[in-house]
Amino acid sequence: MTPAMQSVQLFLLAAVAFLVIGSFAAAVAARVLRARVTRWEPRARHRALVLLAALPALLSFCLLLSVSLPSLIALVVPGLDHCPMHDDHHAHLCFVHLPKVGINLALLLPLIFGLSYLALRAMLALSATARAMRAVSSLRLTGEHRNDLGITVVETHLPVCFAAGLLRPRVLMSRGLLESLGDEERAVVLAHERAHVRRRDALVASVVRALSVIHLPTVARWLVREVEIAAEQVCDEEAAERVGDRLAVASAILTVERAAQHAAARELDGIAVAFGECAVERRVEALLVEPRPPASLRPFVVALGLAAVGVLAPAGELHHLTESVLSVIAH
Amino acid sequence: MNHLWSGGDGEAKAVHAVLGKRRGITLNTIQSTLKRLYEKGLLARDKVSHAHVYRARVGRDDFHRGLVGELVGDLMDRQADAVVSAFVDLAERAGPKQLARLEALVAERRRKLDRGSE
Repeated sequence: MTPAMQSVQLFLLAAVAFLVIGSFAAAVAARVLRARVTRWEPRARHRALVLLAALPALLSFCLLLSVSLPSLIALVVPGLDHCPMHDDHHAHLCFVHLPKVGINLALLLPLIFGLSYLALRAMLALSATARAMRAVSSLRLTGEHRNDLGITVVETHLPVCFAAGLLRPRVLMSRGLLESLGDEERAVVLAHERAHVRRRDALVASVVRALSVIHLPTVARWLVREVEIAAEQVCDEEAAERVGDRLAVASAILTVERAAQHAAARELDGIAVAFGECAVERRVEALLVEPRPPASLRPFVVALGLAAVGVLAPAGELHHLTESVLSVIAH
Repeated sequence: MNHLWSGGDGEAKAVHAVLGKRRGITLNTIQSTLKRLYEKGLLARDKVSHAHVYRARVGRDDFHRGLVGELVGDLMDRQADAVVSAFVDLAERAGPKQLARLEALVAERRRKLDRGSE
């Protein structure tokens, strides 16, 4: 194997190890935040959860940057080269001196297996997204465009209204729901969905889903669910501000939920319906109390900044430690 | 389906004469397509002499509505959650007791507000 390939192997192994460290750090952070974050105002909660979803990727990026820093500096100032301290068979994480050792097969195979698993998950998610986008595009093509309402009406009795699409989302509403809602309820539903369109919530949710692959499974499930509920609650709040009546939003949610219950009993054979813990309950209960004051995310962002500095500051030591651990693995 | 909905002859040879030659589709393909649509319940057929004569079992509007319903059902499935932000998730229901409790809470709050504003 060429030294360049061996270098790629070592950097990949270091990146995977850092992602694992990141996912454990995120699991600890999730445990600390779990009870507290549900009491936060929805906008702050949504941002905090998205940051938490990105934590393993951010942390592993900072760690990888930190261990690469001595080598990057050596590219500019050759005198500061760290590599002459070690012999050629050291696992150099270096762009100047390529390593003469690779990872042994027993570790290389799990590494390839792990990366293939992540690639497969990503492809399956992409294919589901592409299928959904095709369905949205068919519905938009066959639906009636109501410019007065800024929506596409789709010809079904199912009581649905949704913002669909990643980059240029649009609001689609079923004929059944449009005809069954009163003027005030329709205004609430549309204000809620337009808030999703403005905030690009589907795009954010897709990024969070993609990032959730590098979290521990229980944390990933919790994160994806909480981000979705927080986004719904932000849009509920925006709809309440728009119509000036929190109870009207709660009432509209219950009207659509009641219609969905009837549809579930009649014609939702193809959809796996989950009963039990339901976002509707949390959304309505939150609308029955006064809105929470906006929470500042400054302590959260400062903690993340300090963690980044804490990781980047001891770059030399971290570089040395990582190379030493990789050398043990390589031999 | 469009051919049959617009009152076209439902025998495979007749369908082939109208569509097959124009689109470069063989008679066998037309026959197997008609058979598959029959098996899916979209067409009915009668045996006239030695040939099957097909006719549409569902109208164009019902067919369209069914197709749209299926697409919406697919979108409401959990797999498409990342692309769609639904006002109320069809794949997740509150229990009837929960729903009744929430409706009572909202009604109670509305009554209190109305009393306060009088």
